[in-house]
Amino acid sequence: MEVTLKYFGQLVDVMGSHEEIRSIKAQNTQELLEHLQAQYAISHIPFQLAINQKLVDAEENVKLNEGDVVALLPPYAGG
Amino acid sequence: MKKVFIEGPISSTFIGDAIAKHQSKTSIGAHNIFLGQVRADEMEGKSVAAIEYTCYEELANEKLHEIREEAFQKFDLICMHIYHSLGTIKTGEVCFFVFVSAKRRKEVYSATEWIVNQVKDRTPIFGKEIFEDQSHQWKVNS
Repeated sequence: MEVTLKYFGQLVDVMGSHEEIRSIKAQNTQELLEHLQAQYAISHIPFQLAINQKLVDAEENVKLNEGDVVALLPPYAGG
Repeated sequence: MKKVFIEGPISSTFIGDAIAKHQSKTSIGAHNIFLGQVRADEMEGKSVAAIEYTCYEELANEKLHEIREEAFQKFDLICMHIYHSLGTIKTGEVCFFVFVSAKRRKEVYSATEWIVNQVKDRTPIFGKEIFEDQSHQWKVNS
């Protein structure tokens, strides 16, 4: 299935883009994270996921659907 | 939805105009303002020259809307405004402006502090600290 991945903060540096549409085999967030962590040096960066603008708890494993927008959000730094 | 994000620094003219716009709201008896300014933090002998702010605008606007609604429930306010910069803001420039108005002064102090903390904790805004030699590090709110 195809999902949109959005990267922010430090993750833009590592992933080399702000956003990409990716064809993935992962069926849920846990599989997606395992796949990304195996491919990219991101395990030292803390981040939270948001799917279609809804924040996902760290221990939550959410099923992914075609067309989902998955955002990877490092710690916030506003203000 | 109120516009929060401003490209570039928040000027003193913008802040002055925001105050002036409230002169017609005569039920207000107290304003309180918080201004966040980019600080020249030092790290390993290098100083921060600017912060480049980015955000996840759709989610940020949703969170800011929630904060706004909660602030009106929690405090007896007449109005409130939140502005945050995006893009490159140099040290000494203002990047964050919270403006709270109420009938009396008691409410505005606690409301301002609450709103500032909520924006920092809950809004997906990211800051790249750019040093004088153009190297950078990612800012994390303490």
